[in-house]
Amino acid sequence: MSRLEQVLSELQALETATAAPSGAQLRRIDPRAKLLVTLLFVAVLSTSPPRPAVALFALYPVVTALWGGVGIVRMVRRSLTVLPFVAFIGLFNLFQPRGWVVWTGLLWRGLLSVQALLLLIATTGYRPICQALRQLGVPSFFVVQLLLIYRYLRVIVEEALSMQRARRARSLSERRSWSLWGTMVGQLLLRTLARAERIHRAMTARGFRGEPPAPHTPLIWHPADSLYIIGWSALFVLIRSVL
Amino acid sequence: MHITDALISAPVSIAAGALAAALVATAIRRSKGREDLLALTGTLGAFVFTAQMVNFAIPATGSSGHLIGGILLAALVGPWRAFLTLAAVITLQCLLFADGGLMALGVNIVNMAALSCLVAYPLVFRPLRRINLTLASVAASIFALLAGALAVTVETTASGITALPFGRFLLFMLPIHLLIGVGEGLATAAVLGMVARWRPELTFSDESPHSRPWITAFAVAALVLGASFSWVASTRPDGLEWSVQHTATATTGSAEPAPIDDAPHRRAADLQQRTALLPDYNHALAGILGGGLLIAGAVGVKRLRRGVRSKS
Repeated sequence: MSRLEQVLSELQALETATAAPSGAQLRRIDPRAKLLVTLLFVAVLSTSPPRPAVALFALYPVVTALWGGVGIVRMVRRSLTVLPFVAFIGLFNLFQPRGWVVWTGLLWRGLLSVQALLLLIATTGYRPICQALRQLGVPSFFVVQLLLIYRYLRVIVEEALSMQRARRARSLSERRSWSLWGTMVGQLLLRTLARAERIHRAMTARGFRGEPPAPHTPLIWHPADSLYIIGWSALFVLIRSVL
Repeated sequence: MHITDALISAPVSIAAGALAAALVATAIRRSKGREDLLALTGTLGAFVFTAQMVNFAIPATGSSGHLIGGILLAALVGPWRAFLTLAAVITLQCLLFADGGLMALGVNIVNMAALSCLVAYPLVFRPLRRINLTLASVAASIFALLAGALAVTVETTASGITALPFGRFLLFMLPIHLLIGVGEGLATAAVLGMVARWRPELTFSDESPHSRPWITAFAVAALVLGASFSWVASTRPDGLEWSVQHTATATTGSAEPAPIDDAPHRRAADLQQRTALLPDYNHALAGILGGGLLIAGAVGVKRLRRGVRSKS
């Protein structure tokens, strides 16, 4: 499977398979609360000293995955991709006294912080996160940019895939030559630019003035959301300081 | 070239985040009134994301590389809009695929988007592009990637989370990124050449010359950075720690004090670790990082201004 197909299936999975079922309780928590808790988790995790208590931070991804109905095995397997990089950068710690403790701690923290992000997207969805960013004060220009890139990601990836298929159908060699790459990517860029023009005309015709389209349901902050934040932050601080 | 959360300390993360946020704010201010370009930059962002995934074979090496796209975007839509687009792509990769991480987001935006679009493009690509497109693309890409590799090394060392030996790691990182830079440059030149042939009206568009707002924004960025580093500086070792370090350097030649292995000392150290908001890190390197970034940014901005002035 080519990298492009992989991305496409991952995009698909984000919206269907691995994502939390829409009825899950965690879905109803405000995206802003989930974003803030994720940020807090990552911040507390990365500032805590390498002690055995760090293992307890795994409570957050496990509980969130169970609560949100996200498949733990898939989530963990997906997060393993971060390990080689962290393991390599931390390699020199192994030559220090007690270095392997620090090294294991590094791997552990790398895993947990990736899992926290994967859970955020799985239990919230991309568009609600963008909406939360907007309401937390990120400029609408940037948020519209984030939404537009996401919206056209699949379109452009599919365009690239169809070009790859067309090339395979017309040539026997699998060799990826230099000039061929230039032609493919250049052609993809030209098609992208043509598409951008059509999109722009269509958006202007429908009254786009640079603001993100109003969401169907504006975010409403419930007491449960405050409780969600307070509960998790209390736990994080407890693990960080007392244990 | 994504750095992950686990390797970045809080001060480095905050400083880079503040710098990235200030630059994004500046880029937005400079794009105000050009909402018509949102569709263009949005689709181009999706294109860059896709192009990053199409590998090409690097001739005669058997390995493959891929595009990062900073110089390409900057040549197409101008440095600030390119920066904004690439920053959005990096944010999307972080939120959607957990590449990098939330704490490392600012660091990654600075390393990949700011250094290529706002430093390498005005400093290297612009002066050279009148001579030769391929030369300009290759030189600018090499510059951007080497600067990025240097930034990655400095940031991980400044974070002090890993025991990476700075010099050796740099010696390892630079040649690799030199090769990647050549690949990226040739790829950029190939694609730009194709666009120049088929859509000549699109290449090398420069931005309209408003200069005021973003100078203010840069001053704000400098202030924020200064503030965060003075906070860093206030947590530097006190006199006793300093002298212990000094003695250790004098006797053993290493900056770290020799591990003292008696129980009360360990307990005290443990307590300090628990109560400290920020675990130890190398503040001197953090300062160098901040200073270097600021100088690089200032030089880049100056070049941008000069470019704008010579246009108008």
